[in-house]
Amino acid sequence: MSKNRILVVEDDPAISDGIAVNLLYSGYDHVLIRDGNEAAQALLHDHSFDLALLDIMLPGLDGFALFEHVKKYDIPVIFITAKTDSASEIKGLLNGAEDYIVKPFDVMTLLVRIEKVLNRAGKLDQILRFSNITIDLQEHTVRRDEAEILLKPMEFEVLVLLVRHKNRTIPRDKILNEVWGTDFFGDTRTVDVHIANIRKKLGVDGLIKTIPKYGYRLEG
Amino acid sequence: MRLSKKVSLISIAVLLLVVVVIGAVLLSYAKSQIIEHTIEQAKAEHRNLNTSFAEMTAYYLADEDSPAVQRTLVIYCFSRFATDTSVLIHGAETLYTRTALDSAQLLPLQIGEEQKVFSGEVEGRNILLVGQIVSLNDSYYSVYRVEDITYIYNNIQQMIVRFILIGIAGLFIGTLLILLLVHRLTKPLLMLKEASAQIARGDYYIRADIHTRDEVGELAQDFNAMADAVQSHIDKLTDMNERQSLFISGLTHEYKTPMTSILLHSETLLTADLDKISTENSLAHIHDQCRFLEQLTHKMLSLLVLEREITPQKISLPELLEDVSQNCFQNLMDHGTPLTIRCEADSVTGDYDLIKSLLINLIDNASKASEPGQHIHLRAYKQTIEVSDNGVGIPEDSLPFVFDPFYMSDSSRSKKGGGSGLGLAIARRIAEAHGAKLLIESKPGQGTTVRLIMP
Repeated sequence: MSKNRILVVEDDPAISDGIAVNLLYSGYDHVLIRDGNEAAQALLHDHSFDLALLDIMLPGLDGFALFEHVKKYDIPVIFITAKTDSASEIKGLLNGAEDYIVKPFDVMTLLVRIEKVLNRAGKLDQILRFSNITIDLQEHTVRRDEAEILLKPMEFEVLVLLVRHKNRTIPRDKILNEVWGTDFFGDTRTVDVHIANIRKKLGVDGLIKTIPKYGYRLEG
Repeated sequence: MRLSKKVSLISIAVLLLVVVVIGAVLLSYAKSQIIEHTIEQAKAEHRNLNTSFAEMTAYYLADEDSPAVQRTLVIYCFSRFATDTSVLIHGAETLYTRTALDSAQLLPLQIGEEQKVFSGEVEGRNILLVGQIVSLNDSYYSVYRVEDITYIYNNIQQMIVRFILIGIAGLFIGTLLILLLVHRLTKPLLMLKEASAQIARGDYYIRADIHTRDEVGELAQDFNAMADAVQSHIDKLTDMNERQSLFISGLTHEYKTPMTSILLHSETLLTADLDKISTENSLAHIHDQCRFLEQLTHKMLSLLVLEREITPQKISLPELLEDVSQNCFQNLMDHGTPLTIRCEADSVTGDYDLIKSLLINLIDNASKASEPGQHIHLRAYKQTIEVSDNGVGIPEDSLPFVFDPFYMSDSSRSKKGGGSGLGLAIARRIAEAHGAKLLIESKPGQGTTVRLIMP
């Protein structure tokens, strides 16, 4: 599959730059627009987006009004809002394909939301490749070259997260939150144990790097 | 017990008492009057009868007549005057009667007595008996008038029954009237009670709609005055609360945007290996946003500092305007919006630095609202300092809010002009601290005028 294309409509230059640099780094193509009216105009000519990130408070059309335009092209939407009270308004709009994120948000949260929405829309590759390792998300299998490596479900999820965000340090607590969920009562040592198991089973040293006091990163 | 019930019950009880007492007195008086009248009439009629009878008998009777003739003559004469009620007795012999009653036994008469009267019940009937001795030729005749006056008693009884019926009807109507009146009188009190209950529940706008010209009406007026006072206090408090929460939410929002980008860029720098240009770009953003936060904090502090009292001094207006214009010069040159100054007053009293920062702020706003080439006017006259421009102006629906902290007429709060939304709020605080007025006039497309009117 080719790169996913994301429309970002955010008026604050510092925030939109921050989003853009991360989208680029994670291998997404993106188009940045800073005004609601401009975005609506641009969509008339170019609407081949896999996802749209819409700020609520925009000059010109606001995010909700812009949503009506984006909807026409079946582009899934993630709203960005600074106000917790507009979150309830967004909830009223959501119909499964959309999500929202409240400022201030961190990079991992944004990226994971984007992946989830893209996945729901069937726009993510179901086969992940990294060095000589192949992960089949549909069959839940991991192969090194041709040999299948048996991973426990949580180990599998951790590996997927690392591969998806390769060359990016993922904090331990983020891994814990994304894989085990926020309701999980374990501590970050659970993550360490699972990383150790993955390293052993993959049999490749130095693939998963430990960043002391912070987290892990898959390099290559 | 409710006041209306109390008043109604007491009134009805009084009414009942009055009706019963007056009725009883009137009835007993009427009864005795009727009976007395009947007796008097009977006595008079009887006396007339006796006189007529005696005269006629005396006229016809002769001493030489035999007793049998005398007897017949007496009976004849008596019968001329007698009615159904008359009885004539001579010795033990009843000469004339139409009744079955033994009058002599009921009312024995002695010779030499005046008229005698008996009134009482005999065999279930009310009988009135008047007796009199009539002397004829040395013979004494007892003449009675036996009258059945049961009908009078019956009439009296009927009268009592009628009176009771009328009394009951009167009581009924009276009760209704009392209830109606009491209801009308106590209704304002009930309304007052309802109004105070509603106010107690939190509906502070409720008033008692009572306009009677009595104590209740006065009470209602006082009550409404009290409710007005409560409402205005509550409104003030609510307004203050609203302003405060608006301020806080504005502040939170104002911090959120720079915080978001600082977090975003710092996390990116921490977790990803960016190239040199991207790294520098991210660092520059972090730096800018930190600076913005620093300025915001500074402005917040100056808002807080302005809570204190200021020390007023005499300010020379020409000097102040010159100072302000020099301060703004570079900025105005950059925007291409020249400043014209007109000073038509000498001095005002106030804090020099605060007034100066206020004016710089207003001129800064005017410059941002103007296109290059448009003039900005700074003018002082009387106790007023005025900053006006011919720029974009402010929409009418935004005007009431421009002095609110963090208010920006553009909903996106874009920082195109680089403002924090605190400038006019600080300006207003400065004016308030001086007891001065800060007034704004604006028409979209024509420009804005802000006037500082010193006290």
